[in-house]
Amino acid sequence: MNVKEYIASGILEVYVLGGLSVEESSEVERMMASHHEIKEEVLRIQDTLEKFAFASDQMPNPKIKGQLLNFIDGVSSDNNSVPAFYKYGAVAASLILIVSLSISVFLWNKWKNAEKTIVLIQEEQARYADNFNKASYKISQMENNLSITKDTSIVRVTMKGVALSPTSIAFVYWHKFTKEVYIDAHKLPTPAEGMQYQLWAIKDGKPIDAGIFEISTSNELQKVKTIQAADAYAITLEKRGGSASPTLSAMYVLGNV
Amino acid sequence: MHIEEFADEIVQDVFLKYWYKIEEYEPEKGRLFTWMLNIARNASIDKLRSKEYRSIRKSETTDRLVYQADEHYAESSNPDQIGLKETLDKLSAEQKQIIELMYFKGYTQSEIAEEYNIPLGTVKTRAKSAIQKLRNLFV
Repeated sequence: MNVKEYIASGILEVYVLGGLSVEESSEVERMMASHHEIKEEVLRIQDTLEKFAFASDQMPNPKIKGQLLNFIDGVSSDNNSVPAFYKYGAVAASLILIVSLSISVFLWNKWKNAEKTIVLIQEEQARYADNFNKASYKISQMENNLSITKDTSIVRVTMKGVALSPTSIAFVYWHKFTKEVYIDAHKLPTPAEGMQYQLWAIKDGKPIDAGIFEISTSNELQKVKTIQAADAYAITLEKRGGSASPTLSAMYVLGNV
Repeated sequence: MHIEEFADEIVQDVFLKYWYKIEEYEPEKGRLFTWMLNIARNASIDKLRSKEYRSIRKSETTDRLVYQADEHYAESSNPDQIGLKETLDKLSAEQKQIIELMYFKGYTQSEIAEEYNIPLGTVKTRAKSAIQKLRNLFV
């Protein structure tokens, strides 16, 4: 069927009058799209029906315009019939909730960090305090040592290494008036497990126990037992806790007053 | 319920359909006015076929309704226009029947051919001649 026959058949009039099924209408629309003359003809038929429609035009009830506008206003501003107050309220509440949650998380993190910082600062402070205590202890000890070594009432006895340990050296400080004895023995070899050095004062050829002591790495004086008088001092290695009489085979240093 | 109340309801429905369906309008298929006219026509036919309408207007023929409409809206917005009834009266009985069944009552060409025992081709040629006649009337 050519275009002219198609137009002459009257199918376009039926199409515009709404007398075609959906499939038939789609077919006409395809023809319209591919043939310009067919589209023109359809538009002409539509024009005619338009005029026909206007032949009977009537003003609708004026009430309807207002009702429609109200309805459309309602539809466009408020899709669900939930009152605007609640809608905005819900939005506002959600926003407030989100904001307050964010603030809570933020503050909680800050608080956690602050706590951590406090712990760190406390630890640091404890370390400083500890260092300070150690330092002041050391200073007081050194002052003490210095006062002992400078004191003119103090007698210093040098004990030198004997056969067992020729390079060893130790010092005894004895106070003339208080009879107090201090030992500086940091240059002795470290004793074996379960053993301890013991100082002996020798008076008239007899050893007197002057006390046990530890080997300290720092150059400090240790106070041992009070000795009334001595001709010489010696250090032996004894079992831990000390012995009643010196083990002469384990004598490390010896010095005369 | 009076015919005006039906009309008001249809007008309202139709405008809401324009509002909701405007995105479905395809300019390739014809003018916007035709699209609007078809929506209005389909809504009117749906209403005329509704039980609610038929229960009240059982005995009314289209003729009578058209006449009634013309009478009722005697003061029209356009005083120069030819009335609907007058226009339809210028058509032959066959042309008028086609317009009435197809355009006002929503029958398809196949339904008309079957129900009135007319060949499909004749339905088309009658539709064509009816439109031709209307076109001459509105030149």
